[in-house]
Amino acid sequence: MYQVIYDGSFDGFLTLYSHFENGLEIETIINLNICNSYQPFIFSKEIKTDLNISNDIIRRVLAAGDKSFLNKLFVAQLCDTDSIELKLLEYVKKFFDNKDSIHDLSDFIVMDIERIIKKYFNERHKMLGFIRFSEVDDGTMVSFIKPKYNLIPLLGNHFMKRFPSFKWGIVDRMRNLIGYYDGECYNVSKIEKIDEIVYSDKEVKIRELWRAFFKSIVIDDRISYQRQKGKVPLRVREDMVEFKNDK
Amino acid sequence: MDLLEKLNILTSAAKYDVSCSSSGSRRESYPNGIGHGAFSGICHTWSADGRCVSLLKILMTNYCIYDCKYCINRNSNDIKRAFLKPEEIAELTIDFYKRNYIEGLFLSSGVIKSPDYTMELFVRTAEILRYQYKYNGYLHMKVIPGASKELIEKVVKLADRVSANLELPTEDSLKIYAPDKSRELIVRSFNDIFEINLNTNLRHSTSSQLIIGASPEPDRVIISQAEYFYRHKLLKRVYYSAYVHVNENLPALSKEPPLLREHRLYQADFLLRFYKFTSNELFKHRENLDQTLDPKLRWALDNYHLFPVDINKADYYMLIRIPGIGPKSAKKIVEARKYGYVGLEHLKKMGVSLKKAQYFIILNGKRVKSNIEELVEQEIIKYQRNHSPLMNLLAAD
Repeated sequence: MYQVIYDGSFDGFLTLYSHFENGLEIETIINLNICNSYQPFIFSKEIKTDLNISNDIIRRVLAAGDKSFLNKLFVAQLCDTDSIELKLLEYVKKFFDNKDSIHDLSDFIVMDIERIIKKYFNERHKMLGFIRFSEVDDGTMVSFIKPKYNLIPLLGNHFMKRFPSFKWGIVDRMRNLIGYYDGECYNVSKIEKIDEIVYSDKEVKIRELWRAFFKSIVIDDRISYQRQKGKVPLRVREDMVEFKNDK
Repeated sequence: MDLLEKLNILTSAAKYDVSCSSSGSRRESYPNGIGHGAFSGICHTWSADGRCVSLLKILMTNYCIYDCKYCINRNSNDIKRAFLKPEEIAELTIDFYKRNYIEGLFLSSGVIKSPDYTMELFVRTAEILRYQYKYNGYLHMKVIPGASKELIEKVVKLADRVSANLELPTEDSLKIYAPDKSRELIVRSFNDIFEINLNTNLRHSTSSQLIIGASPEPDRVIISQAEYFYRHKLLKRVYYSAYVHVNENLPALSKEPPLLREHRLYQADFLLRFYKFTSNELFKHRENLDQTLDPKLRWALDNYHLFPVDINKADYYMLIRIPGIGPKSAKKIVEARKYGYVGLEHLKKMGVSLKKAQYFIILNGKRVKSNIEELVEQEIIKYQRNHSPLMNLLAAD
């Protein structure tokens, strides 16, 4: 039984699958995106992402004629903090054994995958609202987040539609990923470190206005911090202007 | 007066309008513009009272020629007044929108000079946003009853949703509490919007708001009002606003805003819109909704002879009437039945609230649980824990 380490990418996962298919016995899987340090031991095995292998598997899936399966797999793999990988390997195996079996909603693996996909999109939907952009000196908008799942790859579409005419970037502080839109296309890449950011003069003023609005909209007779906490969990507040006290 | 102070005054003045939904709009963005409509709606934050904030909800001005007894901005109140120019509102909207603080603008206003004059300023604001800034995000605008149809048409064409508040459920109450407003004019503006939508092939939704607990009407009257407007497709959504005691000379029915009543009304409203209930079914035995039990459970207990229901045989419309099962779970059940027998484990994984549902269903030919008194007891305890004055007193430290 091996402890397997992979880089957290989708291609990495597919490479991992081909090892699994060839009989590699896996006990635990470590995703380097969310886990920077781990204790290697004699039964550790690092999987090197191999694009040829992953493309091969993608081709096999498409040959079976089911694109929606690939989409589901892609999304489920992004749910890294739920350690879904082992279950996901079984799910892919199930698909290659019998491609109709993944539509059987009474199967427990299928149910779990469907549920986790739903959780992913719930998290994404919430973050679409919670993301706060700030204007940097040169007019670029930048935002920092620390979401539960790896959302960066699937945020581009929404914000490209919304802000097509200026540059913006979203940084995942936990996974050190950045999704950057340069005015034409959206790219996801790893970042090592971020320099001090100088915000524009207007930024401070707008933040102040927003905080004022946020305070004035409250009906005092109905205050319920408990309800508020249920809706805006504390973990997302550190990046939200209205809950921060800085200038 | 600087922008910050104006914003403070006009936000406070707008907060009693409860509508905040940003759903139902499918706008695509302009290549060199800003904004698009997200069909499902997006909440951007929640304020300290637990209400969602998705729109920059603001009054253009809180000057008003009307003197409605329940309204904080009424003419005879001695409060600070402010006015935001259309250009200022548009710029503020864009600045907030760019930072993803908001999903769009909700613009309402006190009536200055005349309904037509106020509406012209609305049109001006919307035009600046749409044409100058090429803004294609969500826009919710108030229609002032009594304004001309041409102006209403202009607003409807520019906005994603328009609304006019019914304020009070009956004409009699309106005469007493808001003598300047007329129910006929309000309903006429709904009709105007309906016709404009028909003629221009637009499908903009209309919403409205009713104040709860300022006038004596029972829940039956309120819900059947909503049902009437839904049935005639005049309104897409009715909001209920628990009256907050803002003016001294209006003797509100209770000192505290009737939040639980408001909650039950929303539940009943959802039963009308998504569960195909009718108001007659809900109010067969009562004038007001039960405060202790939610309306769906109450209905199920009143019609206990229809239960238990076999999960693997019942049709969709019966499934959604089971307490604990909503449209989503019902659809999943119907879908899963095609592949095999749906059991208790499946229901759990589907997200069915078995706590309630188990008393109303048959699985494997057997009733899952039959002592319904147990459920009622639990619900009463839950109600008392959350709402009894004694418990509130103990909880408040």
